[in-house]
Amino acid sequence: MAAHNTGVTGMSRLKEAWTDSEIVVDVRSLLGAVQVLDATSRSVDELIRAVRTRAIDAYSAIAPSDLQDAYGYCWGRWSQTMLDVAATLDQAQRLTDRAAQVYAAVDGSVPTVRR
Amino acid sequence: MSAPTREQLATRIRTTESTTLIASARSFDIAAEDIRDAERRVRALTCATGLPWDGTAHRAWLGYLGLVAARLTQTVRGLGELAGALREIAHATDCARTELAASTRLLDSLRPESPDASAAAAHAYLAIERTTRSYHDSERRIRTNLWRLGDSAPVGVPPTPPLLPPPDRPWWQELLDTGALGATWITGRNGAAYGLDEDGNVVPAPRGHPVQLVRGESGVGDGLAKLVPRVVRDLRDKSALTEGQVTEAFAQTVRESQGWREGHINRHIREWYGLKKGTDIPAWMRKEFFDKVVRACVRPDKVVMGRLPDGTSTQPAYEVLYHDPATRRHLMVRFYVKGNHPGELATAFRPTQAQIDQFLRKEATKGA
Repeated sequence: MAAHNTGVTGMSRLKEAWTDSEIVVDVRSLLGAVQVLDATSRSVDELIRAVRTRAIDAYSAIAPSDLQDAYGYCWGRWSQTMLDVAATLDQAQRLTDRAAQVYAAVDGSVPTVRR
Repeated sequence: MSAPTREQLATRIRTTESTTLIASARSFDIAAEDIRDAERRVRALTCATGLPWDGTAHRAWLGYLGLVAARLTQTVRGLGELAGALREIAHATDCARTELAASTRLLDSLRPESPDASAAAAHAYLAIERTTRSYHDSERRIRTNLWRLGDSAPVGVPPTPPLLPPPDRPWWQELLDTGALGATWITGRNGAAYGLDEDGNVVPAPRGHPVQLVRGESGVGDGLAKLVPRVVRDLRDKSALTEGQVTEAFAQTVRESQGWREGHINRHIREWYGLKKGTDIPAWMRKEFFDKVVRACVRPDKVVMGRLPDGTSTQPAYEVLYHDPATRRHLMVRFYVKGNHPGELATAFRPTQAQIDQFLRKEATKGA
């Protein structure tokens, strides 16, 4: 991948070798996105912990019956969905962070083009 | 599996904690709202960083964030519906509890010497019956919605729950031949596992309970003896048959039946004892197998209507599935219903697992 600096800090111009097209990366925006994703991921984790206790309380509050089984099954599936979502968010945060670091490294290492 | 009784339903109404359910529903709502905020933040990211970054990596990144946002939207919907279901349970419980309390108060206030006491008591009991039935209806409706909601969660196909091993029993209980034999799922034609819900309906395995294999103590003269009247036709007092009489009657019938011809039954006896084709069958084996067949007829665990091959078509047959306590294997016995040999033994053999499954499926749906 060929790269050069645009002269504006935080904006890298990178040439994608396989498509031969030029792309522009706003590293600062990307770092901002990392922070948003990180905060969102953490808040969803906290939510899951908080709601899990209440969900278990609800299970105990229903008398043993098929209805209780149905609720247990439903909550089990949706709690798994929430855990999956949290993992997906965490993955998105890590991928974005990695991308931002790589682009920031490129941004800092290439010479500035004087126009 | 039979529908819950009035007493069981009344206990459910009394023990369900509606305030806890409401509190949990509120927590789900708050969580759903917070997740909606999270989803908005993720969607905003895709717009905010969309412009200055372009390329294959960016498109992949946008696609991934879109997936995250879609999952968050689904979670909001799931939590919202769960909260709604909990509120419905709480509402149904509160209504039923109020009605139940009113009926109980009425019953408590009755004085036996009062002339209209019995009418009032009957009225109160009817009201309790109505309340518990109506509560159970709401239970059925909500649980159906909960199963459906659980199925719609995007986390793959739910596995068939594992079966619990049969309970360990002391040796003397084994000898006495009592108690449960364990449980099994019913295998459908499509290969999927089915069980029974608390009302006795056949439902997919995750929604039901395994079918309990219980040795049926149907009593002497019940079951097959009622269905095959020729067996006991010569006995005078049919209302008070002893086990010995029915055993003797079935032994006579089996001995004279088409199905007990050596040309037919020998291969099933060999199959039962694991003998090779053409091997002579010792007399004790024949006698023991005969006793098992008669025992299956006298005390059948289950009886259903089945079909027997009859030339190019089939004919109806009574089918008995008997669990032999000595070998812990199943024995299937079939009796002709009509045709040239009505009421005679048609065959007796060790069934395959598919035949047991098919039998249990029929038994479970009998009368449905």
